[in-house]
Amino acid sequence: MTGKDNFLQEAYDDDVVKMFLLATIGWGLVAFIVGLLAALQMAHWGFNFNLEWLTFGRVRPLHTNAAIFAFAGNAIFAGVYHSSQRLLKARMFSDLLSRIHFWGWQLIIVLAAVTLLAGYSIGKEYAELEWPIDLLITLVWVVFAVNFFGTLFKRRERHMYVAIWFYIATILTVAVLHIVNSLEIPVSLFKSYPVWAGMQDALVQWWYGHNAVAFFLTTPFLGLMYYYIPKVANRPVYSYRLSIIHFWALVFIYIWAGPHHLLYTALPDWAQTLGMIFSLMLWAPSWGGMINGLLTLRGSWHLVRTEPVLKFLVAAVTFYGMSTFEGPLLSIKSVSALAHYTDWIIAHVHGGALGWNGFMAVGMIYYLVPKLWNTNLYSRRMADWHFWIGFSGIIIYYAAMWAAGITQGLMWRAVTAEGQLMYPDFVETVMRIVPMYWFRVLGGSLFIAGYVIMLVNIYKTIKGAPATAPKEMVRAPAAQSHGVEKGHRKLEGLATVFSVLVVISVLVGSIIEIYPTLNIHKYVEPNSVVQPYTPLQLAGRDIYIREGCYVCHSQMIRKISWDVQRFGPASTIAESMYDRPFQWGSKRTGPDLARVGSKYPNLWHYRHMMNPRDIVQKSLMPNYGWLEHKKTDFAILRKKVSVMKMLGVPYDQETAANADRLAEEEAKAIAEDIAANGGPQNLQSKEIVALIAYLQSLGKRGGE
Amino acid sequence: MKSKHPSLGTNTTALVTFFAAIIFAFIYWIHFHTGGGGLSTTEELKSDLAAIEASKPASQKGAETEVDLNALLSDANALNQGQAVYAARCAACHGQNGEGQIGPNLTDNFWIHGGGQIADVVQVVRTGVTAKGMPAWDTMISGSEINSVSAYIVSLKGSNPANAKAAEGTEVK
Repeated sequence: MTGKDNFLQEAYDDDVVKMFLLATIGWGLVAFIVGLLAALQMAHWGFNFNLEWLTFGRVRPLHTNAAIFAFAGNAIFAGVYHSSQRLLKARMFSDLLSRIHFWGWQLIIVLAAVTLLAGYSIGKEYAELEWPIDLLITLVWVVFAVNFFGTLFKRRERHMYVAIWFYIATILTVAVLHIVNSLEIPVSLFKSYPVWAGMQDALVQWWYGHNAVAFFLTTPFLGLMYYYIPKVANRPVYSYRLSIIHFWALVFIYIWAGPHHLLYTALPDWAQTLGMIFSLMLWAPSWGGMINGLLTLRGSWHLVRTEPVLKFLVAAVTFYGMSTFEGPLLSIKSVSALAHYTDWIIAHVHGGALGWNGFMAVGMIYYLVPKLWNTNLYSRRMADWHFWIGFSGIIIYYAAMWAAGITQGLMWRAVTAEGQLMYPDFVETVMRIVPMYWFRVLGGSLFIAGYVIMLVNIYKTIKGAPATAPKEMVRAPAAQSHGVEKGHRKLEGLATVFSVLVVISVLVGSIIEIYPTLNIHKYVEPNSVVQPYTPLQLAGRDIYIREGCYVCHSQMIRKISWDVQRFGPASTIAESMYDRPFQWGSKRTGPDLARVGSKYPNLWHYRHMMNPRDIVQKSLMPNYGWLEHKKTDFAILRKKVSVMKMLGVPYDQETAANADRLAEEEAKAIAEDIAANGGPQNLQSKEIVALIAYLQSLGKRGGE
Repeated sequence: MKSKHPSLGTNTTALVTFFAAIIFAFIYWIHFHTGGGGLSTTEELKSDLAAIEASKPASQKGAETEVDLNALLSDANALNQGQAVYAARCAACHGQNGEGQIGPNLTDNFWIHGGGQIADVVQVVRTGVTAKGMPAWDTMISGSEINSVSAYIVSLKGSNPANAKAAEGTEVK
C-alpha cells in the first residue's frame, strides 16, 4: 500500500465503533432501569421483593457499575475508537486487539451483573468486583492501551489534538487507579481482602473513587467534547491556550481531591485539608473546559435551535459546568458537614452522570449512527422530544434530591434550646424525604422515556440504512517534521514524552497523599488496644459486605457535634485499623452503625433483620429473611483468619488454627441467648447469628 | 479539522479565579497547619460539645427529687405524654402494655435495677443498661419526657396485662 511518496491508504475500522455504540445503547437501558428499580426501593421497601439478589444493597452496586463501566465505558470506547483514528489519520493498530477489547469488556459487564447480584463483592464503591474480574479488567485495559498507543505511534498526523491528550490521560491514570485500589489477597475463588486497611483503605478508595469520576467520567468525555462539538458546529475550538492550561491543571490537580469525600472523618486533618483546597483549585480549570466547549459555538448559537445533536452536547457541557461548580462547593468543609451522607451528593453525581455523561453519550450516538450507517436520522422531531423529556427528567431528579439532601442534613443537625437533637429518631428524618424519593422516580422515568424514544429512532435509522456503505478511507503521508517547534506545540509531537509527563503529574499528588498513611500505626494512639474481630464476627462482617449494608449505613461518626450527639463518640483511626475493606460508607439512608454494638439485645437484631418494621414502624430497610436459612461457612474461616494474619492483623496461632471451632462456640452462645428470650431455636449454624455477632462488636473492640 | 487554527485567547476571569484559588489554598493551609490558629477537627468538636453542654438547663441534668416526680402520678397531662413516649420508644421491647418481651415486665413488683421508685426508673431510662440492651435515652428525649414516661411506667404497676413475662429481679414490697 505504501507508494514511493510514502502515501498510505487504508480504511478506518468503523465496525468496532458500531459495536461499541450498540453496546452503549443497550447497556444504557439496563443501567437506567436498574437505577429506576433502586429509586423505587428507596421510595418503598416493598420493591426489594424479599429476594436476596434484588435487594437494594446488591442492586445499587449493579446500577453504579453498569452506569459507569457499561454505559459510559462503552460510550468512551466508541468515541475514542472513532475519533482517534481520524485525529491520528490511521486505522487502529490491531483489529484483533479491538475485538478482544470489545468482547472482553462485554464479558466483564456480564460477569459483573451476575456476581454483584449474587452478592460477590469486595465492598468498595465502584470497585466492588471480585479479584478474578479485577484481573480481567486489568488485562482488557492493557489490550486497549496497547491498541491505542500502537495507533498513536503509527499516526500520520504529527501533532496530537487536545482530544488525544485527554485519552492518554484517561488510559494511563485509570490503569494506575484500578491496579492500586484493587490490590487484594484472594481467600477463595470469589472472595478476597484488600491489602489496604481502615483509614488507609478509605484514602486509597476515595483517591480511586474520585478519580474514577475524574479520569473515567470527565477526561475521556472532555476528549469527546473537544472532538464532537467542533465537528458538529463546524467551527474551531475556542481557545488553544485555554485547552493547554485546563488540561494540565486538571491532570495535576484532580488526583489530590479524593479526601474531600472524607471531611470530618477520622482521616488525618492534613489530608482533609489537601482534599478541600485542591478541590477548590479545580473549579477554574473545569470551567476552562466548559468555556472552551461552549464558546466554540460563538457565532453559531442558532445551530443549537435546529440541530438536536448540538442541543444534547450543549446541555451536557452546561451540566458539566454545574457539576464542577457544585463539586468544589461540596468540598468546603462546612458545606460537606451539611451535605455528606445525604441525597445532595446523589443529586450532584446524577447531574454529572445523567446530564454530562448521559447527554454527551446520547449526542454522540445521534451524530455517529447516521454517519456510520451512511444514512439520515429517522426523525429529528423525535430527537427533540427526547431532549426535552430527558432534560425535564434530569431537572426533576436534581431538584428532588437537592431538596431531600438539604432537608435531611438540616434535620440531622437541628437541636432544641435545651441542646438536644430536635429529631433524635433517625427514621423521622427519612420519612420526611420519602415524597422526594417519589419525585426522583418520576424524574428517572422521564429520563428513561426519552431514552426509549431514542431507541426507536435509532432502530428505525439503522433499519432504513443502505445495506452496504462505502468505507471512510484515510489517505495521508507519513507524519513529517514541521521544522523547529517550541513549547507545548513541540510536546504535541512527542507522544512518549507527553505520556510520561502525564504519569508524573498524576503520581505527584497520589504519592504525597498515600505514602504517609502506609504506616497506619503512626496515626494510632500508642496505648489504644483494638481487638481483631473474632472468627464469627469476621464471618458476619463478610455477610454485611455481601448484602451491601455499606450503601445505606456508614460506620464513621464524624467529628461533628450532632453526629456525636446522635451516634456516640467520634470514630477513631484505631477502631477501623484492621478493617479490610473499611466500611465508613458514603450515604446514610439508615443510621450510622459504628457504635451499634451492645446497644440492642441479640433478639432485637434478629427481629429487626427479619422484618425491620416490627421494630421501627416506618423503616425503609429490606427484610433479610434468607439469613435465617442460609448456613454460615465455618470451614473457610481458618483460611480467612490466616489471610488476615498474613496481612498483619494480630491473630494468635491458636485462633488461626481453630477459627471454625471458635466461631461455632460463639455462635452457639448467641443462638442460645436468642432462644432463651423467646426467639426461634437452633440458629447457631445460620448466617443471621454471624451477622449479629459482627453488629454487636461494632464500637466494642477498643480503640476509642 | 478546523481546529488546526484555533484562537489564542484565554478567558481572563477563569485565570483570575484559578490563581485566587491557589492563593487561598496557601492561606488556608498556613492557617490550619502551621500554627496559624485554625482549630483542628478534634478541637472544633470539643468546643462545640462544650458549648452545647453549657446551654443545657438544669432539668436535663437530673436535679429532681422523688417528691417532685410523685406529683406526676396525679398529673393527667404528664401521664398522657408519658404514654405517648412509651408507645413510641418502649413498647417495641417491653410490650404494648408493659407486659415485657425482649425487655423485662414493667408491671409486676419485681425490679432488676433500683427499687421501683420513679427516680430509679428515671435513672435507668436516662443512662440505660447498655450491657443488657437498654439504650440510654438522655440524648433521644427531653428531661421532662424522661420524667413523664418514668411516671407512666410506675403507674402501670399491678395492671396485670395479658401474656406477661415472668418476673425478674428482686421483689419490692
